[in-house]
Amino acid sequence: MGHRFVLDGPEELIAYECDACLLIKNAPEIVVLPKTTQEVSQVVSFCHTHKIPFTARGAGTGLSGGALPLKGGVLISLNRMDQILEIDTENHTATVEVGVVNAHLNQALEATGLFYAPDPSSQSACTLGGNIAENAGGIHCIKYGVTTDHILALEVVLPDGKITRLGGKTRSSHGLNLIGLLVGSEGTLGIITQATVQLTPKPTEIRAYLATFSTIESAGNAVSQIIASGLIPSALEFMDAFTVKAVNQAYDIGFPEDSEAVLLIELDGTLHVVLDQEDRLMAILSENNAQQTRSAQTAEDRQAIWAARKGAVAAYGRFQPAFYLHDTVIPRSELTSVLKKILAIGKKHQILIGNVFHAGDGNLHPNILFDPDDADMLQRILKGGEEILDVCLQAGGVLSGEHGIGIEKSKYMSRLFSEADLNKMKQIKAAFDPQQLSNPLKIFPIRAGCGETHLSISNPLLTTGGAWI
Amino acid sequence: MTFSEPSTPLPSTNSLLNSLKSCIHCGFCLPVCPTYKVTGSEVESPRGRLYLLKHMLQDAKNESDEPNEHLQPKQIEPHLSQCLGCLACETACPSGVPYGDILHQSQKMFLTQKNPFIRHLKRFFFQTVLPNSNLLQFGAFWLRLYQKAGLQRLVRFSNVLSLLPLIQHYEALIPPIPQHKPFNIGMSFGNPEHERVALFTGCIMDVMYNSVHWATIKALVNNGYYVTLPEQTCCGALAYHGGEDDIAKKLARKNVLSILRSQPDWVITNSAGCGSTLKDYTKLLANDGIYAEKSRLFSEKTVDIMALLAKKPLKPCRLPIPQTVAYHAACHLHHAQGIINEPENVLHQIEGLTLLPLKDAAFCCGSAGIYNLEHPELSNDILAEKIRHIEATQAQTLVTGNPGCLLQITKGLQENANPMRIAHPIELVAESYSK
Ligand SMILES: Cc1cc2nc3c(=O)[nH]c(=O)nc-3n(C[C@H](O)[C@H](O)[C@H](O)COP(=O)(O)OP(=O)(O)OC[C@H]3O[C@@H](n4cnc5c(N)ncnc54)[C@H](O)[C@@H]3O)c2cc1C
Ligand code: SF4
Ligand code: SF4
Repeated sequence: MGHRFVLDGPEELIAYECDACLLIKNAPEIVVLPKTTQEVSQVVSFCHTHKIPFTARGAGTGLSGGALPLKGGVLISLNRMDQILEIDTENHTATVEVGVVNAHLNQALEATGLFYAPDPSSQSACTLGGNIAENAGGIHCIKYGVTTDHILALEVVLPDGKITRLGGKTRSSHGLNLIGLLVGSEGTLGIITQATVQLTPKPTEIRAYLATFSTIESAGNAVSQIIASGLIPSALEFMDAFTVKAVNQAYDIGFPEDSEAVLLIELDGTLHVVLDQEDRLMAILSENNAQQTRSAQTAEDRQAIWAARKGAVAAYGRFQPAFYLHDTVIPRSELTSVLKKILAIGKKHQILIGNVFHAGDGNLHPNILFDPDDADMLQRILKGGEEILDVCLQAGGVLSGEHGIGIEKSKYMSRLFSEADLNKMKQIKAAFDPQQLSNPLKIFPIRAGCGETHLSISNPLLTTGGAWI
Repeated sequence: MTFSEPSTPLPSTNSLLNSLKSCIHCGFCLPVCPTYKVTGSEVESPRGRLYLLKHMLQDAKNESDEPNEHLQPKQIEPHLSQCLGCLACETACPSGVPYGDILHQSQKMFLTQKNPFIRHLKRFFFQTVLPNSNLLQFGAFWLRLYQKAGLQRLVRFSNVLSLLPLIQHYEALIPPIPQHKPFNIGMSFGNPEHERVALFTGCIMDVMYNSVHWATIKALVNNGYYVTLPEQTCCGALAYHGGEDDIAKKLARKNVLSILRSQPDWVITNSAGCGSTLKDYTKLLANDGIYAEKSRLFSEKTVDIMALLAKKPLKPCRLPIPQTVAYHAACHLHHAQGIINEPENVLHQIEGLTLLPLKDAAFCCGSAGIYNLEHPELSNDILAEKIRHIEATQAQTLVTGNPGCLLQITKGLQENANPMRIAHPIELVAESYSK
């Protein structure tokens, strides 16, 4: 692979000790930057033979500690595998190496009239490999579906180093759906090296709107009513007042700051359809006392709105150096009451919480902002975080809508799944990876006293309230 | 031989740590970073660099832990020194991390890590050679002679340089030195009744791209400005970016005083690197007595030639320029000064000229001051990326507003034997005013 692409200096390893979740850290023992599937396979075979754990990493934008090597070992960073191998405009597919950045694929598609729909807010940086491993969602997934709905074929290096290909350019339904299993597997079933993805024709008419509300209730009710009315917007996003302030500081966008909540909405389709939907949308917004409604005048304005929305979470960095966010999906009917409870928890523990999320999907993202160096604050956010999670789960929510379980949420898995369910999942994992080498200690709760003592106990998420270490 | 360390006050760890904390590790800056792009390594990425710096400073504060495990400056310095300072990461960062300031502070901190001999050589160059235009012209004269009189061909042909690989490497980097059409300090052009602009000529720009100054003057006069050439010296960019603030300050004070004395409405630069340094004088001289206020005034008046011309429609041009043109956005215009659309908006007004889009136009070319001398391998890899995109445009002319970029891209295209023309955008504007 060449010495240049193998990193083992102490400072080099430290740079890989965490992803975008700053709560848990562990450095690898070596980092490799392969360029080809063959190189990945050689590294994995070596690990298999010598029983060395290995962990895949894309751009390290993950929010659940997925890409950090909890047991040390080899970190396989796939960002150099960044070639778009084929764009097939007839069959509406693209075949890519996994290190391709999500937004770069869409740039390459610009002239084709097609686009790759799943657009996580981190799309300017995250890799398609990371998207597949986390089954990433995004702003436009309410209408177009999440990553798993767009994967037609995968090339995978299995945990024993063998290279296998699954699927083709068309959908098939024979045999077990192994692609479905690998999408969202968080690197625990092997390393994905190539993918063929489904592309979507661009709609002819796209319009974006902004509506402001004086209360969270009215915004929440508007969301419920939009969905209940049968409208399928191509985006329906919520921002609270604090988020609007952060975004305005980061981008020259001028979102109105005099309201409690802002909804960003997009409609697309043919002109005829969009005009019809627009009328219905406007009626619902005014019925729910929207203070102002604006529409983006040009394609540039629309892109600017979405760029600002996508930068929102990172813009929180202007207020506190780190954020800890939950990623639950709740029934949309519960939106308003859950949001109000979250805000109350913030007040109670004196913690800053920013809410910006995919409202149309009911996919909440309460972002708790904190300073990792402030021990007292750390305790408060962990406590508040637990309470928020309780509220969400009580409302019928799930643990993760799109960011994955990784290590950061693994200890909560047993609250959602029975021992029997978890065991079934573990059996599947063992069928792929009997030696437990591929991204070990992820997804499943770590049992106390199971010998993982080398894990730094300063990892607050692994230790707070519970029987797990 | 030993050298005493020139004293530079160290930045405060606390303020640096505070700036570093604004990085929330989101990774949005990774794909725009040229060194990450060509190395694939996160240690050579903005996020990695910031993270290591923070780690090191926090280690140093934590006296209780095991000092053996502390990250040491000598481990981190090489990764910061490989940073181009292109500031693409700052543009991409939603969290507002002041990367440029952090880099500058850390460079001051790491000065003592540098080889003292090289450091003194550089300091000599920054404070004695660059600000001395007579010396520069003298050197340029001999180099020109070396190149023109066939001596270069002879030397290269005889292969004597292969005995001295290092010199051979640098000899190859010397670009052809063009003829110089001198102008004297105190000259002025145009109608004294018009808005008054002071032209900042810079050191390298003046030796290598003196013709660009003439084009600038012509374009300004044609657009109703009165151009003066006040007393001035090198802007100090290289010293400033190298963390040698004492040298940079001396040069800054000189420029601020003597140029303001000419009572300009605007101070014009046609070099992105000089322009961004002149604008940074406010920061550099912020605590410098009477210079604090003067430097603020000076920096406010400083404007890039293309940004000034973009303020009003161009005076009607007389000649069409039927060329396809691609624009490379110099980092120190695009990222450091936020001058993004102005150059193309001006070029757009030239009849017959067709602008072709250049992919990743604001991705660094790898020149970055003396980076191409210090890190030739990385610089070449970055240049190769740039040249690939430039060639893909198939434009007839490539324009860019910075001497370092002009030199670097010229070298890249020459190596590929590509005959594409390379120019400063103001040259096209000036040409459109030719008879
Ligand atoms: C500001 C911000 C906003 C975000 N917004 C969204 C959002 O809107 N929607 C969303 O879904 N996510 C979002 N995320 C989370 C994150 O960007 C996604 O999870 C993304 O898919 C991760 O991609 P990555 O390339 O950075 O992967 P990494 O973080 O490097 O890795 C993520 C996981 O995938 C595994 N992995 C990576 N590559 C491979 C591979 N080739 N084969 C097997 N396993 C692999 C890793 O082992 C790890 O478990 C956001 C993150 C940030 C910081
Ligand atoms: S974009 Fe800004 S906040 Fe995000 S990792 Fe880069 S420097 Fe840090
Ligand atoms: S200044 Fe340029 S080279 Fe340095 S970290 Fe930022 S993007 Fe990378």
